[in-house]
Amino acid sequence: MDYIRLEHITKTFGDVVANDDISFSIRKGEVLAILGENGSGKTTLLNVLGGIYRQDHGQVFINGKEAIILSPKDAYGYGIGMVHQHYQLVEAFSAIENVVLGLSRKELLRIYDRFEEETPKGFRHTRLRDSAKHVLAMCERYGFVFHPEKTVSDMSIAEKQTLEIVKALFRGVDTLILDEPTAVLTPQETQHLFSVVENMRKDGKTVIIITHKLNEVMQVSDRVVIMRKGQCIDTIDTKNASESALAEMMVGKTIDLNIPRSDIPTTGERLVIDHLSVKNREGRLALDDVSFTLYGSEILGIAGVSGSGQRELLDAISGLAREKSGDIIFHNPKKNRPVTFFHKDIKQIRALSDQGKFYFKSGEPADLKKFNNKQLIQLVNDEAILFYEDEIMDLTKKTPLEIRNLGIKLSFVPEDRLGMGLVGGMSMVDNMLLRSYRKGKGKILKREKAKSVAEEVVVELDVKTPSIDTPISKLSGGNIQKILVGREIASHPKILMVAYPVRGLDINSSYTIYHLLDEQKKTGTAIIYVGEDLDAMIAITDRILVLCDGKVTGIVSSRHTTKEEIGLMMSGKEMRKEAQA
Amino acid sequence: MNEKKSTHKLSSPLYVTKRLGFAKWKYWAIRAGGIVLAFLVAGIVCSILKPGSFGTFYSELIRGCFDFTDISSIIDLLVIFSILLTIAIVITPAFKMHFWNIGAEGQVLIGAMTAAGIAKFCPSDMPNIVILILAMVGAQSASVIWSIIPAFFKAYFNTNETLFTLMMNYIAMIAGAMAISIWIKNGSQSFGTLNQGTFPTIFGNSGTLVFIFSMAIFVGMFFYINKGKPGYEVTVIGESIDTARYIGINVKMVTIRTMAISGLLLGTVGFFIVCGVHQTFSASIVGGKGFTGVLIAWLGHFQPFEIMLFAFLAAVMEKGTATAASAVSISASQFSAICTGAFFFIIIACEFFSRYQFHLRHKEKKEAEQV
Repeated sequence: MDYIRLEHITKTFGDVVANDDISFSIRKGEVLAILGENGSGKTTLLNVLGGIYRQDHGQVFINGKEAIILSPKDAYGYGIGMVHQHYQLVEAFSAIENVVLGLSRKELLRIYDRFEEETPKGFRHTRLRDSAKHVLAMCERYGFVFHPEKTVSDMSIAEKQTLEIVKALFRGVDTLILDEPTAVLTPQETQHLFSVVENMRKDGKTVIIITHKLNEVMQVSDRVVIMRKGQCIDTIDTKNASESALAEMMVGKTIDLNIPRSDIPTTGERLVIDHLSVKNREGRLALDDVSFTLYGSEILGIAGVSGSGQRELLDAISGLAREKSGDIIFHNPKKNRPVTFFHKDIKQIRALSDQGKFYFKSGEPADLKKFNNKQLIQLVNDEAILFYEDEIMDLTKKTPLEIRNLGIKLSFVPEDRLGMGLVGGMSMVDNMLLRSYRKGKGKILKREKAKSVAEEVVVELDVKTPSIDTPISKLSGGNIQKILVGREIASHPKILMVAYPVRGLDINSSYTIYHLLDEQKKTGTAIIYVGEDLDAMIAITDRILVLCDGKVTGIVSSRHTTKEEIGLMMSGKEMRKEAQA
Repeated sequence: MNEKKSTHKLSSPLYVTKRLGFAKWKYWAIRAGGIVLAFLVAGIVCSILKPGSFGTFYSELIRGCFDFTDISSIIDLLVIFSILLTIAIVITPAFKMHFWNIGAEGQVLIGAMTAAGIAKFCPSDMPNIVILILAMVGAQSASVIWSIIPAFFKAYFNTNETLFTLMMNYIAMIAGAMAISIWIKNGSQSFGTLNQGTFPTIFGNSGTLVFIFSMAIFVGMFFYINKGKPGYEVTVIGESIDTARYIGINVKMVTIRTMAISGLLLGTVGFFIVCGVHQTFSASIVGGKGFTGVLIAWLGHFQPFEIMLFAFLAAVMEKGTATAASAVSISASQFSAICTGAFFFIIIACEFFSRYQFHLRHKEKKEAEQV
């Protein structure tokens, strides 16, 4: 018999229909996967069950009786607990304090009764250590590693997730909803989580996993509900499904799941990072003695559990991080290229000439002393003076503005798109202006150029927007990311840094981004790619640098590595295999 | 997707959600209703204080504001309007930057004080125009310094600018009172009327030039906010400081620059008030217009033309109710203050109700059970 049944659930936000007349049932003791792309309404639907949202229409039945769930507390009353993507823990409290938080003495005693075979007579304690005893016993049963005294702020992401699950189980839930539980875990941690899920199922619990990863659905679930654009497409038994069939149902059309990677030779050193250490905003050492070299025409992946120093690395290179030591050296590809007045004036050119940096087209060294300014301008305009070598620039102490003023084309797609890369309340045109508004004399903005860039981005990246004047916060995540990436590559960067470029994007948009990155690589751009999906990272990058607690635990060639190997390095095992580009 | 029930108030019978997809015309209809209601309340208050004056109130209100046979009276209204408008539009860039400067009252007052001092003590054989220019430059410098102080502390020590600017209003008022007691030695505590350094009269009103100059400032500010690079930087900072840093804006410098510009123009307003409108000085000469300007900027959503509309309505409220009050012989300044207060209270309430809606939890539960 159906344990939980959702009937005709509809939920709208303004004009957006997040869930459109969804019906399916959940059986007792099964692992059910809710599969769908980002924005397909999975989380909203389960939030209805978890008591965060109230559906506009439709009903929820539990054991055949209608359930009115208006709050998470109501949901607990029905034995339903939910672990959200963003953990709801008190950072300053210990693990056990978080577990018992909000439970009255009466409730705690009721929970104890469930754990103990026979209830002891007389006064019973509800001190933290008594609760801890029960929690530890429960953890042993499921195979959790749990330290009651550990403070949440000292925990890794996986430990925090465990704590959330323990919190729900301790409250006696029969049904546990996990929202994208593996997004932030290493491959090893993911496997551990799945073994715990398996134990829970054996114990008779029902587990619902919200995910967009096909391999996980295949590995862990009994049945799978496929959602697309707010609608429930189908519910099938996992054993009758294949990854490609699921992908097709999820996206609505046949898709090519191959991520492109062009095999082209690299074009020389572009960025040399030497013994770089960076303190984060709280003053903690977030990046510890990191050294690597980035080449032109390559994509270097940065792997690591979140918070291992990825953000600080990108901030340091882009000039945003202030407290840093070590060297960041940029090699401007100028070898055998003509000198221009782009970001250089006559004085600087003369100074460089005195250092013997130039030669004439004919091949002889260029001594510019014997030319007057007028002749010099003529020579530069004729592109007659060439560089011997790449220009070497020290970026270590530079601010973002100084880097730009040096004429260095360094683009950065930050992790927090609307909080850092773009301005949500502004139109596409004004967002395009962010990078270029200073150009031109006078105090009045010139929007024409940005307008044409915006129009180009709309066409080339297929951005879905009512107009280029619509505030971009009204657009979907995928379109917002396309705008950001589009702006950053519009300047033909020499170095492109991208942080989690496909996070929250639907499959089609993700592949658009992957192709764009590969195209950029072909034009000689050196790319740093910070990501969390290791499968995708291995597929698109040329080399992968693994960070753990701010230290480099290895640099490997993507063509000769495995997810497991990277997973081990992510958890601190040093490999130190220096792969050559 | 902000429609999320507040989970910490589970037992509360009432909960509030954000309205999504609320049509623009509905929003303006609610606002228009609020404005009508505000004027209605003013009439009712008047007829409570003086029974039977309901009709007189409105006829006097209209006569006080729109008597086109009396140009000088129209200009008086325009002067109130232009002072409110200028203050509101000038503080808007700081607000767009999320620098909550509620110290406009004091910033104007310091300018006014300086202008008054210069105008009073300039040698009487100086040409009037020179005195005026000196007074203006003095007022502007004083206000710039006064405005930069909170900006500096915000930029370098991250002090709370709201409290800082608020407190500086009171310091400015005390400074104003002190200045009078130093300048006026005869013990009358009254500054008296300026007999030099005043605006020439046009259409029989020395405020005409104030209106004209204010409109020029409005045009300038419109371009500054909507078309200029500094205005663009300010908007970016207001939306996200991280984005501003990411594209290389010097946030500290822009904070101080923005407040310096607003100080410059607020000082000019102080100069207008002393030399153009009142031709005298007292510690309360700004009369709360600095605070009203903050409300107008806020209600106008920092949009120049919306600000213009509310500045005009507030001016009508102030001038009209004052005229009506004196016609039915009740205390004009207090009654006008009550009505202006009620006006803003109602408009702000409209703002709240058009953004949020209330739900009754019990009713919902019952409905759900009935289904």
